[in-house]
Amino acid sequence: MIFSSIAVFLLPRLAPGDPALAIAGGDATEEAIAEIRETLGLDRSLVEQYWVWITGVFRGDFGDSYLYRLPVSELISGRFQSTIELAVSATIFLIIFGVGMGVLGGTTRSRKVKSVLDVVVSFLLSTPPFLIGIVLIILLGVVWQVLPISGEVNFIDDPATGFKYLLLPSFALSLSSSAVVARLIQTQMISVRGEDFVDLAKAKGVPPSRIAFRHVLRNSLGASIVAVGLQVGHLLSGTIIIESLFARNGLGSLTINAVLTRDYLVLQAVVLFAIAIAIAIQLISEILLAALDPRVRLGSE
Amino acid sequence: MFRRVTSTTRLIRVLLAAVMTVSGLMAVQTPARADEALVVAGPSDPQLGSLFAFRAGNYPWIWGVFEPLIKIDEKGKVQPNVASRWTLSSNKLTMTLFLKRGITFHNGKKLTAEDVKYSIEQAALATNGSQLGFIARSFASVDAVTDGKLVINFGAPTSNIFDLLSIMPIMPKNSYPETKLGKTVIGSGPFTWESWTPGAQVVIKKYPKYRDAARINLSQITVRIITNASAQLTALKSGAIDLAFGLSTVDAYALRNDANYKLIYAGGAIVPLGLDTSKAPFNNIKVRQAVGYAIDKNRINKQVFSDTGLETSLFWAPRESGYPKALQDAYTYNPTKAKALIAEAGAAGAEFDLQTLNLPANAALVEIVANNLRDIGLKPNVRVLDVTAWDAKQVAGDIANAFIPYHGQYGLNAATLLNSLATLRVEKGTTKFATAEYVKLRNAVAAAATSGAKEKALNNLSKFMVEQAFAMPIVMAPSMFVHSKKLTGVEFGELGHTFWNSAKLG
Repeated sequence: MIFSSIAVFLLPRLAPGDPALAIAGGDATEEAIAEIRETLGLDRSLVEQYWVWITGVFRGDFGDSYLYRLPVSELISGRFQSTIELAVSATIFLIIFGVGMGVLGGTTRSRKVKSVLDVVVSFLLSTPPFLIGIVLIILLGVVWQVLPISGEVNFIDDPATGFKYLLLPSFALSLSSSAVVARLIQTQMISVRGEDFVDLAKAKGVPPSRIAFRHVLRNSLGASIVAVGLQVGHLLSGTIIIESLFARNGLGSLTINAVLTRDYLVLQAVVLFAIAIAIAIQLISEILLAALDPRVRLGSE
Repeated sequence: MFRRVTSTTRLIRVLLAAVMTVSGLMAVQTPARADEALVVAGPSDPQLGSLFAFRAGNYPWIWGVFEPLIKIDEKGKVQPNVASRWTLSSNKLTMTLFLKRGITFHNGKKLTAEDVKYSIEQAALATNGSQLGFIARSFASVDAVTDGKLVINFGAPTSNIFDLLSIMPIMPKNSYPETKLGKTVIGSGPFTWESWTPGAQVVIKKYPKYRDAARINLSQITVRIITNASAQLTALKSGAIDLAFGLSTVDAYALRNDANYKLIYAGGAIVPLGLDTSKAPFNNIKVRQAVGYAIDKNRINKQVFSDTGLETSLFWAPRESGYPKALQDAYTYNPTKAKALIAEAGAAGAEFDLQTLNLPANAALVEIVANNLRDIGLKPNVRVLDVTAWDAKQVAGDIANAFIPYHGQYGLNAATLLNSLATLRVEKGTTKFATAEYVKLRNAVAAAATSGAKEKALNNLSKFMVEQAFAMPIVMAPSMFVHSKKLTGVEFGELGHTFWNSAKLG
């Protein structure tokens, strides 16, 4: 943990330039920049700066943004909701589309449906979210102005409008990830269908839908839960581009700006935050997997 | 007779239901905007600590909240604003400014000459980062004689004084520390600072006690921070905003014939090629001149700037008094001549770094420049730096052997540009060109007190700069702004700042 915090502290400082320069601009004099550096405390030794930062973190104080002159925690909390709204809605779409397409592909006997699904899934797998986003923006925001494509409305304040603003970015973010999950479930289901216990169920006259959902699907979901967990990580990193494309004020745009302006304290807090989220997602995936599959449940043999 | 429903059919039905639910939600309307409440897109957050500097994030709102002493119109003519009139002594060393009566700040306090003096002092402070701070620092004294009269004594004739007065916001005495922190942002403009949500938006509202309040049509201006140029374009096209401040040249120009939008040219950038004269191969004047003939400005203008730029060999705008038009095309594309000069200098195969900053136009044009230089036998190694990394090198006065900056100060007085552009500066200048002759000719331009003297000095300096070829403009690129046709009366300053006093939503 100590090494992680040192890495988080040092990495942003490896890039040329510093916040004083970003504030003063390229036409400033070295003297003016030195003065700003002193005001911001950047003239102190790295050890001293690290100590001030890390002791603050343990007190819940992440410092003030060099650029905005506002507390980092205030900046992050202001944007956290936006990114979480986007990530959660994208995850819901990811599960709906991923599981939906996967189960359809794994259960249907129609060659036509299978072929269409294969084409759709392959297409989505090869299309990056930003491209899907641009197509959605052009079609549903510019050509037919049916959905908003720019900005956001707080979901809690106005759920209907907030959801409307979330739809396109969530779709764009989730579609290619959902194809990964769909392909995995489909492959797993086809594989599980060849297992002996499925033949036994068929021989006993169990209805096909019960076999599909109760036996095949349940035994195919393990890997997909891990995949969904991993895809949620991808979704969070994908928010950086999608937020920029749909002009949403989330953590992604804050992070990009912090990188460009060398706003170290904001960047450090965002990276710490991302690490915490990654650990939480991993834990949730493991717990779900254990709940679903008795073989991996804790304490079992 | 009942048909058997398969699990596949059931699943398809569920998916169809989901699609229909989504379609139903599409009918939800976006919140309506109040009449005369304008929404525009700005390219970045406001920078309250840099109100005296040229910062694109401040352009959309600064002249809503604050006011400058004078305005320079699109023809370069000086117009009164907070200052109703001014006089210049016969020796050109003293300027007396008379302020309009009845101007109040948003806190109700009367605007006086003391506030103007304070604002000049803030512009002079190096820590406030004004590119034109050197003008304020050159004043011998600034005296608030009465509430409405201010006298500036220059140390030497200052022909570029209006550049400073037109970009300097007037703020209440002692208020800037609080403003920098965003606690109170108080000006005397037609709009008051209402709120700022970092990364999201700035809201300014009509100041009901403004001296000309009855003529201000807009009730509120929301500046949405949209950093992505494509996102600005789609927001404009979808009707989410009425004016875009950060479109790419190509996108903006593409809308010129669209009946729904109006394209505005205001301000612009000087995009030159600078050469470090202290290092090989550019310590040889012949190599520098060869570079001047090697660059295909016309191709760059067409491919990068949609043919909207001005191809020139001069740093000055054509409206500059005494503009030496005959020198404008001193360097035109002539690879044969360039190759001959390279051969003469024995520089064929010379390898060097060519760096630029990561702005869309620069990143695109550097490749064309590099190809042009390869064509004449030079070997440039191209590197594109992020803006802060670039700024670090520029401040240190040491970028690379060859470099392409982006100076967003097109149109300023020649005497100003000679000091405000790092490419032309003598002290810590990035070309490291500081001969005695250059210093003498620069000083003559700054000291020129009459139009005749200015014409002569500028011509001499321009000739010298063209001959020495240490910094050569490639293109003067205009800034382009696009607004919907329902927005009228927007007034743009010479650098692209916006005045909202007459703006109206139709």
